[in-house]
Amino acid sequence: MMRACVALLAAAVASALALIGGARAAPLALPMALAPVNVPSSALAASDVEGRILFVHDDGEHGPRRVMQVPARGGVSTAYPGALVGSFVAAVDGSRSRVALIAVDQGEHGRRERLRVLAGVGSVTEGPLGLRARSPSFLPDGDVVYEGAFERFVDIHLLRSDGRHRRLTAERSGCFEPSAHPRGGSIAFVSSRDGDPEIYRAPITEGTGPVGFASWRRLTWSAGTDGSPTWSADGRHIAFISDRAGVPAVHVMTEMGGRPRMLAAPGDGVVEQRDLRWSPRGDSVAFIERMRERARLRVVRLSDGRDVVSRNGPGTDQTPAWSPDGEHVVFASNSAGDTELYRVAVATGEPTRLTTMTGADWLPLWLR
Amino acid sequence: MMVVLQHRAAGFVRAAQVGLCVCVAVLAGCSAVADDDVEVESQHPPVTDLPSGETQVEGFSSETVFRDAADEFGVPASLLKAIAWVETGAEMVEGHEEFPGRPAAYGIMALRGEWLQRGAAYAGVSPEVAMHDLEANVRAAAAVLSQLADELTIERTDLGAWAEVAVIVADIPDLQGRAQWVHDDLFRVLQDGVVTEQLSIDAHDVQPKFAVPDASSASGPDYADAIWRPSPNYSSRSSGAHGDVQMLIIHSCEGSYAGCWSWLKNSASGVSAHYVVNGTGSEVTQLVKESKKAWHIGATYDCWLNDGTACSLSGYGSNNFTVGIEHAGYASQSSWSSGLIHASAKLSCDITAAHGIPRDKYHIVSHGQLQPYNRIDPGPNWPWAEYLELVGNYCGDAAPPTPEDPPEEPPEQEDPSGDFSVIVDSNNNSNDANASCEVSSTWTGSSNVSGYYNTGYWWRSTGPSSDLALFKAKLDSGRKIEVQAWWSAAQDRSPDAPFIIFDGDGSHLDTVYVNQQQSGGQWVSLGSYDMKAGWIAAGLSRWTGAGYVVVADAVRFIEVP
Repeated sequence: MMRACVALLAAAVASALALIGGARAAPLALPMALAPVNVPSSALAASDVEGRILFVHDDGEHGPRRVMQVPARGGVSTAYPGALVGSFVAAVDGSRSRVALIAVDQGEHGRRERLRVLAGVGSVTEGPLGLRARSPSFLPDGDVVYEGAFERFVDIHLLRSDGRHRRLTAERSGCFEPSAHPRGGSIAFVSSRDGDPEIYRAPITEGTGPVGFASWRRLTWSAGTDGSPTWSADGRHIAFISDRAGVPAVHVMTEMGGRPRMLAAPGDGVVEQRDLRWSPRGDSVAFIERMRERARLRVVRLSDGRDVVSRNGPGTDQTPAWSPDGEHVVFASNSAGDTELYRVAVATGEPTRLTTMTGADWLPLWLR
Repeated sequence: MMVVLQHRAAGFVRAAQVGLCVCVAVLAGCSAVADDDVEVESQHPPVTDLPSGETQVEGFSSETVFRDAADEFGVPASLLKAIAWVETGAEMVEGHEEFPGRPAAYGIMALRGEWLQRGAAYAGVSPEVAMHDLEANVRAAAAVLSQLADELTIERTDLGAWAEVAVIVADIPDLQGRAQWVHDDLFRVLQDGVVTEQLSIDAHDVQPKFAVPDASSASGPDYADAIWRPSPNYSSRSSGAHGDVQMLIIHSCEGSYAGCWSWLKNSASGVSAHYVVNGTGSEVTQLVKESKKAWHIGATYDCWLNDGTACSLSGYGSNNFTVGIEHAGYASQSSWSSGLIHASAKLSCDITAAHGIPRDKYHIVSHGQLQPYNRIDPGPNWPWAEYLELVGNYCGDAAPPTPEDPPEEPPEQEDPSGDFSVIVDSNNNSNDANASCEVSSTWTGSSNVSGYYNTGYWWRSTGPSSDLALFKAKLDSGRKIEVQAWWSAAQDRSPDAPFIIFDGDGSHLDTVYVNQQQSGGQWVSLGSYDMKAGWIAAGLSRWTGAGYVVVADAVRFIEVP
């Protein structure tokens, strides 16, 4: 029967476009000009901010890449126990206690990758070594979905907390970038099986084999690239990156698809929006807006499309991550020269520098 | 100017620190970089004509640097500039060891390995300084060229005689590669001259004293536009799905074209790629058949993420299911020529078409995968979006549909009357003057499946263009109108047929998906809308899930209280 739902056929008709453009009345706040981050290291002020930040310290020529941690309120950075040298920080679960890392193995047969899940000291679950292990996303029970290439091309795999490993998709053209439903049971992911990258959702069925295509549901319908699907904390919406309106930009749709809307129009000279992260409160989305020579953090409220944080200094901001309470965002920026981590309070937009080591400190995640 | 310098300085530090393995040294004054900021537009440094006819960019002293180094070491300034232009596009590059065993190139002169060491020693600077400092880099290059000129006892005043010296420092292993570099790259620049914001080279009437490259060249076995320069460095792909070509890998040579392909066809190098595209896109080399496994990832893939160490020579792994394209240039360079991008996109189209590879960022990926936790990233300045779009365009992929004209204004006003109800049939013979059905010639008329309205219907296969079948009715005055559609249902119909509703002023009101596999032979409501006077319309789009047809049969516009 009829379904009055409605997906935007981007650019279907000029008048339609015109209206959509105009109707995106979403008040697009002009970027608030925040002063460039340039906090002297002496300003590592203590505060009541809780938790710790896990990050990657990359000293370039002078040492291997290391996973480290720093108190979220600021302080001394220390090595993160259990992480292998050369690993990348990739995901944290809803309880902010389990961490998914990508370990890179440089064996005689070339580079291999492996998913490793750390759940407290000494508790490690590992996936198989493969050509590729990326984009992990936690299910509520500690299981992890991720994209991996093992004996075949890239597909979605499931690593259970008891170590069992299962391929969830078997698609010749590959499946990528899974996002787990916050209550479990389903994943949203990218596949090009219909000819161009679209977002699908599929249930995580019982059994041990792949989930048949018959139970997939296609969520996007654009001729461009739709990717990086990310479920909101309440599971009702999916944010994703789409270039349907020109440059890649954050769009939001319901968890069943429907007409997506652009969250916040890219500013002048923007090449792409990327690195989208839902607030754990679900009321806003943090992302990076990249221009030709710099990139800035934006945090945009869903209800009215207004910027609550919009940095406007020099340098490159990247890889934002939310505090568990949704009141802070930690991100990497080289606005003061070296790439360091900064924490910004969403309410005030005031950045605080967290790291001071020489070399890049980036890829933060916020643990309890 | 302050802003520019600040930006550039930030850019330098950023690239150096982010750990992107890319250290862009954008030279101050390198204003050729497009910048969308209007304010930057006014900050192009003024260009002053010099008596020599060459131009110099104020505030940027590379011309002086070349001239001083040329004077100091007795090397033609135009030769130094031509080498810089050919090798790096006159940018300070920080090379990476793209191929194991071939040392990385540094600076505007792309000095490598032994030549970097010797040049630095002759110039009296440390190799470290010669790598990163513009003046020291040019002086080191001039010094080593001068030393070689003495060793080979060439006539210094004869520009053409410098060919055999320059080609040594270019460090190209293959004889044909050396000949091509001299004739097609270095001396073409000297013969044609260059005028850019970074530097300018006068056109010279000169011929290199160097063997001419072989003119005869076979076409590539898989890509006719390529020159076939077979490399011994390949093996068989694995049998089974694992060995099917499923992905395309984009590389940068970290060096010039001739140096690149000749290194890859050198059996001692132990590495290869399927293709190499030159800096302007005017030439493509094929080295390995696509059906064979080239050795382009196992070794080189790793160096990016392994801090440049432990690059394995093995062709194991991703090489099994990938095709590799090398591009003359450096990941650190600030832009790629349009010609190269087009030539590469055309090639990528050909490869993806041959192997059924989807043309998207998930299947056409960069060698430099900078954030392995989730990112597939090209060198920071590879025009990724444009590139993928071009690949699609070369393959004739459907571009997004062009906007269509909104329905025209009615030529005359109608008398306001009672209840409004107009049925627009797919057969215009049944329509009055206030109703019209418009379909393009790509729609097919049919009456095969019963349940249609009146005499028959139009159908079209679904696909990524809208190509609306438009049902229009003239509304005399603003009213609340319910829009209903009629179709003949069957299993081949789309379960998500999109109807787009337009207001009397042509504006878009809504898009409604209906399941045309069901509810045939009846009026199905698409929704009620407050509509303005004018030609209101419902258009059926074909732009929905593939593998079905959409059916345009009849639409009814009926006033609701």
